[in-house]
Amino acid sequence: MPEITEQAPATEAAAAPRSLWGDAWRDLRRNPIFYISAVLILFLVLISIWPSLLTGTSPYACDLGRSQQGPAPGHPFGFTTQGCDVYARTVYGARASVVVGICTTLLAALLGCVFGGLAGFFGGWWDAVLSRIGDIFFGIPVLLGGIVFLSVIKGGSIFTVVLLMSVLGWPQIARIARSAVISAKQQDYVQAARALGASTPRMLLRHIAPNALAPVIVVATIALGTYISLEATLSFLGVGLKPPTVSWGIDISSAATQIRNAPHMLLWPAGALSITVLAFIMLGDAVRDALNGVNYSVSAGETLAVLGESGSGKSVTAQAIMGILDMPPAKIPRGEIRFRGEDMLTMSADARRRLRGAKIAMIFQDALSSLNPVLTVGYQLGEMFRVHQGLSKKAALAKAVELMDRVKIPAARSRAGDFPHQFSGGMRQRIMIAMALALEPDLIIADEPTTALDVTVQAQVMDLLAELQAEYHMGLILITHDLGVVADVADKIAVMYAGRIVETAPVHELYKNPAHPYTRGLLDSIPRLDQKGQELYAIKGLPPNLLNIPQGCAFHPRCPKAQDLCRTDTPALHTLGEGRRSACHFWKETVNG
Amino acid sequence: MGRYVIRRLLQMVPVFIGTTFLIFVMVYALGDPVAAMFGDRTPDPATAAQIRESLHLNDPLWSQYLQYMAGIFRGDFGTAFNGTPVAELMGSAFPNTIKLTLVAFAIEVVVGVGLGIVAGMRRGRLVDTGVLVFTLLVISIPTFVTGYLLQYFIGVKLAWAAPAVSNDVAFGELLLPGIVLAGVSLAYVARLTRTSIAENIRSDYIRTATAKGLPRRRVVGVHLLRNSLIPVITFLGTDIGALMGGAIVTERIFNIQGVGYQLYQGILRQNAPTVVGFVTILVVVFLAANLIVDLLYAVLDPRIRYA
Repeated sequence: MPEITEQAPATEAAAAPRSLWGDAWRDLRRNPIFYISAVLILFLVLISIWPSLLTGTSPYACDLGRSQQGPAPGHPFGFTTQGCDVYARTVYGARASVVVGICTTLLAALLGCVFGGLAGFFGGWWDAVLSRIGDIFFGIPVLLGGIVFLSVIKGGSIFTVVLLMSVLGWPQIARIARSAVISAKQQDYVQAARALGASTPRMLLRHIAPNALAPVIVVATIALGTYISLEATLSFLGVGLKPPTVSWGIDISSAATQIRNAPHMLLWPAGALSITVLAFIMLGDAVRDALNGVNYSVSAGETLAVLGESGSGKSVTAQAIMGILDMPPAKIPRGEIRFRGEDMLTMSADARRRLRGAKIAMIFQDALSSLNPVLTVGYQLGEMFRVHQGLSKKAALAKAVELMDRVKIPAARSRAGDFPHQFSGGMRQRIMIAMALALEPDLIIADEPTTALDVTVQAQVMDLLAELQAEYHMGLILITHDLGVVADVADKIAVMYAGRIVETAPVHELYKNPAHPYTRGLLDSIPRLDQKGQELYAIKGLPPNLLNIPQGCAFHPRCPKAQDLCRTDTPALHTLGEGRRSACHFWKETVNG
Repeated sequence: MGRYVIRRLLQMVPVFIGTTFLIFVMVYALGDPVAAMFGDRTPDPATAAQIRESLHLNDPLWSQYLQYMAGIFRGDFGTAFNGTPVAELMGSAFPNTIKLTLVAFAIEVVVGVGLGIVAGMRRGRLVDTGVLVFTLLVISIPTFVTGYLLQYFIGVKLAWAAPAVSNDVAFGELLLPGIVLAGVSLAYVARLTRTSIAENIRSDYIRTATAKGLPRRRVVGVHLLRNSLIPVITFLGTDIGALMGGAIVTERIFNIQGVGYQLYQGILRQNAPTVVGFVTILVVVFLAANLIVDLLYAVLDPRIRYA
């Protein structure tokens, strides 16, 4: 067996999850992009409030005699067509952009949250009416709507521009808020609060709003940058802000026609505008990564807890055999995988690919996610014959139907055109089995093939698998944590703990006389019908994190018989007899008692 | 499927009416079309009253809207400031804008999706970082700035392309304006594709496809792309309307006599029929694109029911 080293992508996953906001803040503080954008934005806000910090010149003090002149002492960026100081105008222009950007975002987010939140929370007529109203505004592209409306109302004040852009921008945020509220509403704890009789406003404020807020903050931060860009575009087209307001868009517009004579008039305000938008978009990116990253690691943590003893590296080893580990992050530093006498690790990638599916096939645990959702099952089954045997599409489909018959799927011919989600769990797992059987491989690796199924279906699927295995005379590696299943089907057993094999034995000997305390613990934790009145045994503690395997024998912290030797020395895999091995320093004592 | 199409078409009707009514109200109720006709001069009250009467401006707003919509369905969009029928302006302007949009759309799809696939499959590598930085810059620099800069450097300084587009509006001349128009959308497409590819490449069904011994070409081409491009196609569809609307800036920079140009003239001269007419058509295009995306979505993702 190979030795597998897995580098989990997120070490934090093991740490106790704290609040969403706390984790997001921790992620943000580690992100250099956040610091760069925060410093830039702070600087922009400062000069919007006190532009005189940076320049003593007024943006309105113009001298037509210096029209379009280049840099001069005290005027580092040169002069505009009207002879105004480009540097002063660039500094003073920040105010309009920052104020419009922030006010529009706040107003649009407020409108979006109120309308989207109401539509999502109350559903029904509220949703129908509010969503249609949103659609109507959504039907007008923002730039187009802005141009038309601003030119008609002959706007020009910051107030009109903010109002108009928010009115056109809120539906985007409302859509996000609506779906966030709907998904928050369906969470178990919200349902629980509702069942306990929490009042509607309390539900909204205490339970739903905090959870729906994250996606809204993400869109709103990203939208901020685009609103600033939009204001500049409208001002550039002459329908946004109007002089005497100092705006980069206006200055760029008047400089653009003179680009051949005096490019400096365009470059400075254009540069300032681009950097401002860049700063806000970078902030949006950083916020999004922080808030989304947390969701990912929390759900990863939950999945781990459900698997329980499954964290012992069984699936990882199986995937290493198949050569389908994600590398990186995984790597196999040493060891070999022998298949029919040949080391698979030294084979060429293409030779190995040809073995996969044809000689070694794999059945995965969750058939719904393991089948491609957008392709019919007939196509996915037929693909095996098309790729490995070069059959035509039609012949492959016929073979697929035959296979579906073989695994006892009723009405195989008509169901070959169905998609995976249209099958029941048991039928889907049969399709996975059919796919593995397709080319009559020498070895099938089944990774917990029945875990996702309910108990009655489990037995049917296992029986089918055992029957087909005997018929085709294939090797089967069954990966499972279910000792009951093992007793029925297996001949030999290998018990894994913390990424290593701790015991191998023929099945009956292992049940009768385990030679490793871990195996004994597993057997003792099976409920028995023939012994009444005893408390069910459980191995104390949890399996170790594979990144942090204990010194010595990996099982020692949980072992009832651990001695000093176990804490310091890693036990070798001792041979006990024909087909029997154990990685315990005290296997003799264990076998005997 | 047929029922679904009909349902979606029916759902579009109120949105279409609402959107066009909104534009109509804004343009007709807030601006005074008669005053606009005379520009800075004060019109003779009797003449003004006569014009008001002939344009039905004294009728209630909803009646004016109905008359306008009835006109549109007869192909009558009213007359522009210089007496030309608006429909005629559309006939000359739309082909130019459609050509420009097509060029920009092709660039957006090929370059945007291409960059996204490359970055998504090599997540965390140098190429990926490069694509991220590039798209960040493209998104940050407003279109009108990139437009003037590219026009100046490529068109004037290097003279690789004509800085302005001639009246023939040949496809070759539209390459530079197309790049400018596509820029920001292209960056969004690249980012969206990247995220989608990077997410799906770790999915169980890709693991299954690999375990089946399929060649990498097939794993990526059939299994990965088919799933990853669904959200990208949604974005691309809704973006067609945005591109046509965004053409107003690009057309102004490169002097293309398209929809944006006519719309701009209409706004400058406060000519309501031109503005309402062109915007109405753009809104229809936008809504139609949304509908097509919805239908396409249902075809591409079998899990969506045609309900």
